[in-house]
Amino acid sequence: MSEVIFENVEKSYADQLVVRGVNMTIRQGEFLTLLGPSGCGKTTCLRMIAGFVTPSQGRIIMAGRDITNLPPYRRNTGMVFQSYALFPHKTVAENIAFGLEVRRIPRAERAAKVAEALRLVRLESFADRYPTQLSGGQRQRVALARAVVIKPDVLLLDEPLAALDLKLREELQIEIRRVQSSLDITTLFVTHDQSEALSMSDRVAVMQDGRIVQIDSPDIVYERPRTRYVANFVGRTNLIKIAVRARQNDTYRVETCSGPVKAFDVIANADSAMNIGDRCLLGTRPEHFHVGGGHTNSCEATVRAVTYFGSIRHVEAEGPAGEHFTIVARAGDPIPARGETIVVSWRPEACFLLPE
Amino acid sequence: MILSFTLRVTLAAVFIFLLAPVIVVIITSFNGGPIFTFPPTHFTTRWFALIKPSFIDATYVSLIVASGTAVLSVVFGVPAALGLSRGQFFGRDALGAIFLSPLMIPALVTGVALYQATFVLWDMAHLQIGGTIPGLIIAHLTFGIPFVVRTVLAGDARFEHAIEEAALNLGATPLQSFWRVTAPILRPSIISGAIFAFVMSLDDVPIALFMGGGHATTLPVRIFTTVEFDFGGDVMAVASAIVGVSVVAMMLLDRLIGLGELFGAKQ
Repeated sequence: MSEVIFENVEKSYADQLVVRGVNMTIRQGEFLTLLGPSGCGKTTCLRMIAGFVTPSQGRIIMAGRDITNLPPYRRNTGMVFQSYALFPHKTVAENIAFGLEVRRIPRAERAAKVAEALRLVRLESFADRYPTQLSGGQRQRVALARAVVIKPDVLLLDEPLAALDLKLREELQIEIRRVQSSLDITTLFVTHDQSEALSMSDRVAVMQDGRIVQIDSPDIVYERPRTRYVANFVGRTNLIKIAVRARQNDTYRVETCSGPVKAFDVIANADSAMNIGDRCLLGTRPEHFHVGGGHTNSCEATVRAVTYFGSIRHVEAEGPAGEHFTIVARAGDPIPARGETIVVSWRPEACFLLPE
Repeated sequence: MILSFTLRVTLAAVFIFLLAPVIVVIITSFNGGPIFTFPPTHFTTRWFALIKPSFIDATYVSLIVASGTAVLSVVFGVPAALGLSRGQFFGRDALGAIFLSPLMIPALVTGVALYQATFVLWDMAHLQIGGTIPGLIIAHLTFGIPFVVRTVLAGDARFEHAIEEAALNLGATPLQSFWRVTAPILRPSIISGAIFAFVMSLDDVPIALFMGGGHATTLPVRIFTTVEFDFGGDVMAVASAIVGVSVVAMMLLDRLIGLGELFGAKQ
């Protein structure tokens, strides 16, 4: 068992609170991502697990042991840095062997483990190279091998792909996920890239100003965001100001508050606790907006721009109360012209309610 | 083409300007005729046979003092530099300036000050450091440590601190991390600082003149006094022997470490 548990963890520098009351559990074997913009406290959380930052308050439990005040070298964590942080004076094999050496693993066993780790990241033929002789992607794979070869209780990934170009990044996303799941290592991944977070994680924790605002599986985070912040940080969301008029279990009847009154139906998740009369926001993802009628909910919009992205087009439009809408048009969909007034429609189960 | 020609001529002129006196000394040391005649009249090696034992003794003193200075400069200079570059404490910049200031004070002034200090030490604690090899090493540390501090500060400025965090993360204690990661990465800076300290100690006259006294006479002081009172071909022979040893040492260093890397010419 190597769970990591944050118990009401806080961190402040001088009088600035960078992490506020974080409670979370990284489950055994889970790939958990901390997602947020720079300065939201996600890296600080990761560094608190590694032991480079000491919490001002709260406890961190790892593998059943309180590690809050242990120095980094007495915790069994494996960290991959954004800058790779390979030892420039050591070869690839020596880099990977370092953690085993300081753990006094006998030479023969060490060699076997290094070879296994090299095979795992497919760098067998690079064992005797120096880091400067490797490409960025290869360096990061060495860093990954070095971090997992010591069989850490938790693997910590601090924006490991940020320095790589798009194609390599996608390759390494798959690589990291493959290594992580084949070793079944509990993993904390820190990133500001929402698509990376959605594609790689078992669960995503979205952070804002030092707090975790939502922690859920990627599809829930994307399809049922809990706050306006999450809705806008993870993907795009079309928002319409509304007030709740009627409710029956999960099904709501809502009306627009400004502009010409329109009524919509929403099938929200059970725990969204909106009451009749509440003012809130109706959120819909761009790919659930359709040009033309045909779905239960509809309203008019004026097209402002159409942008071509190859497989899709983004139609930017202005709603009845001046809202900004983005509509995804796929191949075969009608392509409206700029200035045209169109009807936009969507299904009640493809939208959600957000507090204002 | 014209540019490269001008460049070559300038380069050649600079080299001639730098090396001509050295070559004249070497040629003169093999000159059988009266000293200071140039061109030499006939070839001889007798000046080398005439080198007095006092020069050999002085060479030993010089080498011991220079080695001691280099080693102790590293011992004190490396921690000082790391403290200055990484520490967060009040007055750090001022302390850094103080650490480097001996390099800006004329050696003669340092020599006089240290000379006076030896008397104060004798009066206060009956400590005899003037005229002893340890005393001379202490005196040379005044510029040896700043040299090491300076090169290590420069090297540490390029050091990526995540590398040390990686070592700690992998289970190395701070001490293991220093010996296995920090020190090897900073090694070129440390070695070049040590070589500077060694060479400057070997080269120093003003401080050794005051601090060496009669018992710890270094080679430069020996040469200096000989030139003053008893100038002859043997001094030329000593000088040309020093040039020979220096050239061999430089070639060895270049082979073993690479002078370019050592003095930061390439990265």
